[in-house]
Amino acid sequence: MKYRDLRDFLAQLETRGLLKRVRTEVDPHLEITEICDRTLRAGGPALLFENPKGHTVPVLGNLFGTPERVALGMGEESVSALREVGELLSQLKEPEPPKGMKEAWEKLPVFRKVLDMAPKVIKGAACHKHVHDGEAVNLATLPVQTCWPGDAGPLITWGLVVTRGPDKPRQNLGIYRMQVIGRNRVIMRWLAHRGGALDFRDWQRAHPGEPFPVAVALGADPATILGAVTPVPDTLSEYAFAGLLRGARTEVTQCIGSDLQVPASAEFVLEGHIHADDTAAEGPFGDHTGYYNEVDTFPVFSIDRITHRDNPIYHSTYTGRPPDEPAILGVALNEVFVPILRKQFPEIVDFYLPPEGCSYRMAIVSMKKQYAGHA
Amino acid sequence: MFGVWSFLRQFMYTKFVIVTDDDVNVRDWNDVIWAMTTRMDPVRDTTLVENTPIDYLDFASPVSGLGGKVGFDATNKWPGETTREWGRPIAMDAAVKARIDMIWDELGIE
Repeated sequence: MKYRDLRDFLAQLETRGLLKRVRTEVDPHLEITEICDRTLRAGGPALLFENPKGHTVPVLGNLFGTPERVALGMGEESVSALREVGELLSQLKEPEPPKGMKEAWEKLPVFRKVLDMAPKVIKGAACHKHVHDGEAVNLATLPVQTCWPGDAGPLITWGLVVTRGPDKPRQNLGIYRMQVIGRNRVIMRWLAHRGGALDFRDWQRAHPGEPFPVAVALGADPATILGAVTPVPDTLSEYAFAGLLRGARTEVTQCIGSDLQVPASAEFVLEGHIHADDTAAEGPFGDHTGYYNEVDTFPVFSIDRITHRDNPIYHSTYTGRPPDEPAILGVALNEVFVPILRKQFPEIVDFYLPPEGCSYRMAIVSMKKQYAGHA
Repeated sequence: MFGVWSFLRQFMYTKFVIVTDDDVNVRDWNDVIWAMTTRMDPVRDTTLVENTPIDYLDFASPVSGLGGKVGFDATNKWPGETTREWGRPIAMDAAVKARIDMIWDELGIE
């Protein structure tokens, strides 16, 4: 099953009984976290909060709260079918073919598929239906969750952050949490080794003092969202990988104020810049380990423009003591990862990262042992 | 952990001991793994003992009746045990939990 956009996915989840609408008024300040946490632990449905307190925009939570919904979002019917996605990725991890070999490589169906998956740029995108520029930008109109009692403030959690380094044609898609600190200002918490941070570092070297363009999409189609959380090879753009999952090219549109491209069907798009030396102290926030983390300094993203669809939906999540939504994504991605690992080590039978071990701090491996000391 | 090993003869053959704080449900592996992966440094907080009495039925020990033991200290580390700022566990407000208890049926999730 393939989905045109987030709404198409939600409609099909609702038909299967995997999405419930909550009409009772609930507060994005703490209450939505508590409801989503209980629902996720019970293996319950995705939740569309239609009446968040003080807001007119509905909040989507717990979207990928079961491995089954992650599989559906990747266009598969079952969690075990996710191994096929891993098989595909393991083929893509091969080194790039030399020029003379190009034709031979193109005969391999998987490479032809990737070449066909360059994103399609469209005009008049749904995400640009409504445009709020400059002084009209106001993040307070978004029902941004404050997740935990000890959190520093409201936190944008499911933003797909689009960046491009100065020498790379390829755009990077990453998910970084963003603390709201003003009408048009958020703190971009990307760790130093992540794609967005690397692009920003390269930009500062090539264009000292110049503002760095950034775009953030909220609420894209599921293949694009899941493409952004899957560790794809560096040579492959997340948009192309999303195209492979979907079986159709990702539709993107040009940003109004930069040459970045955002998913055309996104519910919201935040466009803006990171200005040189504009940083702020971020946190503390509760994270996926189950603890609050320490305050640290990160760049500030100044938003020049917010665009959105008709009747937009705000897509949100929280991180907390496992299992949380990222832990469930980890369980599903574990299935994707097994075939990649087995390509390197064929003796491995199964590999498991328990969510309660923060999804990566403990690994359990079963193998067909072939010699003394093999393990 | 040495207390466990020395307290009763029956515990002499308990070759793995995990110690946690009282906020962890030791009967739930999910809780135990969480405590181990968030509160332990594997090198600092693991105690290995060699050549201790082991059940002769335990064929994994190097020789019959004699083998190693391991203790895992999965408690929160205190000043003196660590020089780092230690994590504060997340907990939801009791008032928020009470309100969600009250409105839960009305939400229509289950």
